[in-house]
Amino acid sequence: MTRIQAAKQRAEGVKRTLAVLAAVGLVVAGVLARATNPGHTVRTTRGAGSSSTATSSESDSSSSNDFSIAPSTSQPQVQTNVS
Amino acid sequence: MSPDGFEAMGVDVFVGGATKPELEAIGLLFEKLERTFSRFRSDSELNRVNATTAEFVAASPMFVRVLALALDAARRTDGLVDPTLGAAIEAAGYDCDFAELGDDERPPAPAVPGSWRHVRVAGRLVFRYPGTKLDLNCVVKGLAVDAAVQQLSSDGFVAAGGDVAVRGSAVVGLPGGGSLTLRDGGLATTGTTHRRWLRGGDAQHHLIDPRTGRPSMAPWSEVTVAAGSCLEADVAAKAAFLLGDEGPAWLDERNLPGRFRVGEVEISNRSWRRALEPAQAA
Repeated sequence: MTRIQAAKQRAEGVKRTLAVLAAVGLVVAGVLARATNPGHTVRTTRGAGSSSTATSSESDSSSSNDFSIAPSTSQPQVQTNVS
Repeated sequence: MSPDGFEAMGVDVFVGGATKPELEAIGLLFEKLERTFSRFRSDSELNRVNATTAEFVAASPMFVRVLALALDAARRTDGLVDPTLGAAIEAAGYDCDFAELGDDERPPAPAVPGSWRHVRVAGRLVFRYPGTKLDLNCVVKGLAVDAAVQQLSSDGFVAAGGDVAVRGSAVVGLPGGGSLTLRDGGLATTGTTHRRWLRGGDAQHHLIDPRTGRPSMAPWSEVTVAAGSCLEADVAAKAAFLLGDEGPAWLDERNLPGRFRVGEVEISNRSWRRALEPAQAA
């Protein structure tokens, strides 16, 4: 076997391994999604040497509790319609 | 503060207090969201996801993020705001841009109730029953308005149709008359007075009740809600509308001011009256 053939064989092996890992990842993601409560978001994060899974009721809108409405008799700066 | 304007998502968008670069950034933001989530653009990501027959489909980070927000809205409203009503709104006849939508003698197609509990997001994968048609417009416009107002470097506002978000304070004109000062929050009005059409001689509108898969039979013509963000106000207004007579109390339980209109008659909840009482008393 030439060195080139050996290198090709190693590359094929790496490709197969990556394909298997990708397939496993997909199945794991699917299982996690099915295992969670309906409608939930599953986030899988992988850091160096560790992995974690978090189920989140993600609410990342910019909602503020400090809003207020007050009476006004001034001319509107902006007119709203109906959606 | 003289507002600038442009058209996006089928409505006029008005922006107050923006510099020219901020206005351009806001225009691009609306364009990107519309390109991704439009039901009427054949090349939108929403239509690509809906056309996929597999049980799961990979989507862009922005798509899954917005879908996650929509699922969160569904949870918070016990499913009254549902991101799986794409087939139901088409069944009611709203299957093209509203400007092109006409009355039709054909009856509506069979009802399609919501199925948000069967949708899951894992990373960038979206799982749902094949055939489920997502429609994320239940959150996209409110989200766009909130994201747009965050682009402003100083006080101002962004308004799109019935949705407005304010940074600082602004005097906001309400549909049907009247105005109020809104500070650091959002205001949304949803209703059936504008987007209406006929199918088989019966009036249809865009506020689908996910429990029936049909346009809501709630008594209100319009519901206006104020909240800490436009998205929150929009979601709450839709839920309160669909809850019918229970809508005002549902908003009060969440300390959200709401105004309900039936034709020319106005009903406001306790939170709304408490905030605006001084003017009414004057």
